[in-house]
Amino acid sequence: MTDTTNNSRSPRTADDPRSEILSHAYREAVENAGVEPPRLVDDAVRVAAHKAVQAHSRGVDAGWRRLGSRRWRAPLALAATVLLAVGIVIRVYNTGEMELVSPQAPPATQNVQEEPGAEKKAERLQPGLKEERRASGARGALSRREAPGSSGETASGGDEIAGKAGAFGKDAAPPVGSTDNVERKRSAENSTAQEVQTEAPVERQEAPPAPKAFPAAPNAVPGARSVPEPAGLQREIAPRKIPAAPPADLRDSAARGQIERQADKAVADPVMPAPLLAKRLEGRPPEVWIEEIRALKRAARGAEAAELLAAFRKKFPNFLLPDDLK
Amino acid sequence: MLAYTTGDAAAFDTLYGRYRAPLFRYVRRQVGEDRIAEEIFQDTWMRVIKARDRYAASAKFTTWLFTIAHNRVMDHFRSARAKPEEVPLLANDEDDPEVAASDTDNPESSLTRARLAERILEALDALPAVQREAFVLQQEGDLTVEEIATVTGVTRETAKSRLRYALAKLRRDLEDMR
Repeated sequence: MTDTTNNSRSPRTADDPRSEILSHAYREAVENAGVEPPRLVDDAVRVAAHKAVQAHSRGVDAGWRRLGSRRWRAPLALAATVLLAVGIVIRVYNTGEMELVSPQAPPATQNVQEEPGAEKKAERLQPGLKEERRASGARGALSRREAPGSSGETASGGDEIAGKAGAFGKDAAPPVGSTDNVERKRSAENSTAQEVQTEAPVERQEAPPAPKAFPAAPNAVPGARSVPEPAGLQREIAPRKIPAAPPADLRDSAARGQIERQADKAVADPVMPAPLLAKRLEGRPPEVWIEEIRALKRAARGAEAAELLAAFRKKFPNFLLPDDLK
Repeated sequence: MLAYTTGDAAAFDTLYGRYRAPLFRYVRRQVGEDRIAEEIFQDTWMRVIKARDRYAASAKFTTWLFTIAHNRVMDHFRSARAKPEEVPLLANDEDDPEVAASDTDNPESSLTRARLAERILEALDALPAVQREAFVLQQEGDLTVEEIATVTGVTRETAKSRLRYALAKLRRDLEDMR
């Protein structure tokens, strides 16, 4: 026991009244008398003392545990709040950024919006283009048909078209059918056809036309375009890309077959009555009308083809009809 | 006691073993009945256990322990309306020839210890309570006059006077035993 000072005898002063004889006598007397507390009381006191110590230690432990848990509670809550806040801020920031970017994102819409201007430009340059087309055979037609994304450039001139198309073609999807290129090469008959043979493969490697203008086309290149355009918009774009009447020397060629197939797709896909189609073709060049009429014929929609032809004659009374439509 | 306050339960056993008998004898001598003495004794130790956190290391444990016991005895007397008889203090204990008598020339030395032990307890019971308490505190707690004064809540002079009167009366009672 550390209570050593308590065991030492108290410092006594000289005037402390004390009788050693009486003290000895008293101690002897009490020892003989054997006056002591009962064992029951001893046990009760000891048990109480031990319980008090255990309860105190338990209380201390519990207090430390409580204190420990409380000590961590505030920082934990703070950290969770900060994490949550940062997460929300990042998410909101990203969402806001996407919303800011998204209106500029879709290139298809942009292309379509640019096309009316390009179309006007093409119409302004129509005479020169026509001559060039005749001179270069199917090259111009093929270029415009197969590179709709660069329709503005297509309308501006043949060589320019070919060069730009070639530049696009590096990153473009593979051609719809590679055997068509070979067929086209074989069917080329004049010197311009030779040019077609050299440039056509490059043009064929441009962005795939069919999925853009006609997403429902059976031979569309998969994955070439992910955002489908509305049907009405497709219909507006499609006639623009239909080439003018091909020269006679190419009618039986593979190039002509290609044009006809694509015209078939343009018309046969969405079933549209002739008056509505004529209304849609308002303001379009006569070549487009001709091609639509041919497509209707090929689609075994003779009555509608006749109706459209009548509308065409009304609109272009001075236009010389091709032999197959006379 | 400090070891016990820090959670050492075995320290209490040592402490209790050392002071249990002196404390019980003090209480028993004051109240006169075993049953009441046991109750007060147990209650005194319970108070020690409960008040262990308030124990100051500077204080002497014996003084603290007997102070608790004294207060508990006083509570018993108050509740039982059995106050111990008051003994008038003398102005100067030194003037009392009985009190001033020295141990050296005391006839106690000639008495046999056995006979003296028998008589001293009887003489002690015959003492007034406050004088008896002073003597018992001195003998059982080995307390000084100052400590007795502290325990009983009186001045040093009062404690000293009580102690001297107690000794003088005991000597007088045991005179015939020479």
